[in-house]
Amino acid sequence: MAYGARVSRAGFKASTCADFESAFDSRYPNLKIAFQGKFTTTSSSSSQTIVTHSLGYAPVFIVYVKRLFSGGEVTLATTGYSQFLRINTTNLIYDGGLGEVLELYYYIFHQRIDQNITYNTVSNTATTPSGSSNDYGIRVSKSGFDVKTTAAKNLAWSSEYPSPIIQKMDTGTLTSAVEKVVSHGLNYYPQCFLYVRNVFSDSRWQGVFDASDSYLNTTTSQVKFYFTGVSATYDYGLLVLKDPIKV
Amino acid sequence: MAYGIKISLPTFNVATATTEQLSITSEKSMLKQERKGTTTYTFSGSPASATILTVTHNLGYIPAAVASWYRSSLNVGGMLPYNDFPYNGVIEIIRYEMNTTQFIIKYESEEFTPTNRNGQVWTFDYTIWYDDAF
Repeated sequence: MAYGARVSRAGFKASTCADFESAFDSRYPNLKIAFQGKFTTTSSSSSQTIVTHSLGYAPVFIVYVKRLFSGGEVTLATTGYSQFLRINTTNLIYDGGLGEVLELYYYIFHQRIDQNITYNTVSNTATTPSGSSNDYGIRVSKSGFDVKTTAAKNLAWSSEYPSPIIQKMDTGTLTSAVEKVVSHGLNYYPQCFLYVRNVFSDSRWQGVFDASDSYLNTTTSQVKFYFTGVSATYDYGLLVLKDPIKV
Repeated sequence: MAYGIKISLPTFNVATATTEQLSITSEKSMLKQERKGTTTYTFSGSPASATILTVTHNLGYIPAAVASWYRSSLNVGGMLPYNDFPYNGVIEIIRYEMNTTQFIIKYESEEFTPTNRNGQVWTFDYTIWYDDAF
């Protein structure tokens, strides 16, 4: 590469750190937030638009849910919720299937689900932090906040606070009830998220998590996943992050 | 925006690249890690429930977070929640939740006779972000 930029996470050397120890690197993208916000459903069983994103592609998303009837704790909206939260090229939808008032918090990212792309790997080898952790770095505040004084949550990003980095997106067809295996090329256990399309015959994508009819596991070389539905096959989109579960 | 920074991915012209073709841009926020941690948990007996980990963050608001599991004996890991169905129709789940002060990883079983996990060693990793989950 003729030109580029790399900034390490605090405490690491930019010249030698592993990719997951970098804050950003022009050879691979960070996961950038397109939309975030709250939405409260009604108890209607009708479909409700959580947000219109109009990105023109179905983007990667996650949703947190406040469990109103069990102490009000917040958790990632996985199986039990995720099948009712689906996205297409225009909208994130709650389909009304639970018939309950739910408080939701959503993140939609600038990364299409149905894409095959593997980004550069510079180094997979963890290094030992060295030197000062706060001498150098870059921070960018959100609009309206003073970058020198604002709280971390009001920053757009900062090399002080690591942000998820994308390793690859993999999309294709999986056969119902047959394990699918995708190589990730990282030589450690990465974080990953899985989406499948058209489970409810509406061409929308939903998150898939570990459950009775699905799993999503990773080894040091592969992601293995499984989904069972009434259709013979499903389109899938797999997001693999450089961020490790375990190095 | 009067000021800012954007860096394109290889082969893309930074002046014309879409957001998806940028490595980073000051026009878009990213999740910002407040802390990352790990714990090793050894199951004892056949618990119906257990608190595996409690982390006090004291952010004063509910932060977004993610967590994962790993078993060295199986050389496999995954994202939480972890579900297991040792018997048809019954459920074991390891999940996490957040409030304004804490992040908690919990084990729960709905089995009448919970699975004997005595001695099983699991590793759990978590990332708490500064960004809101509410």
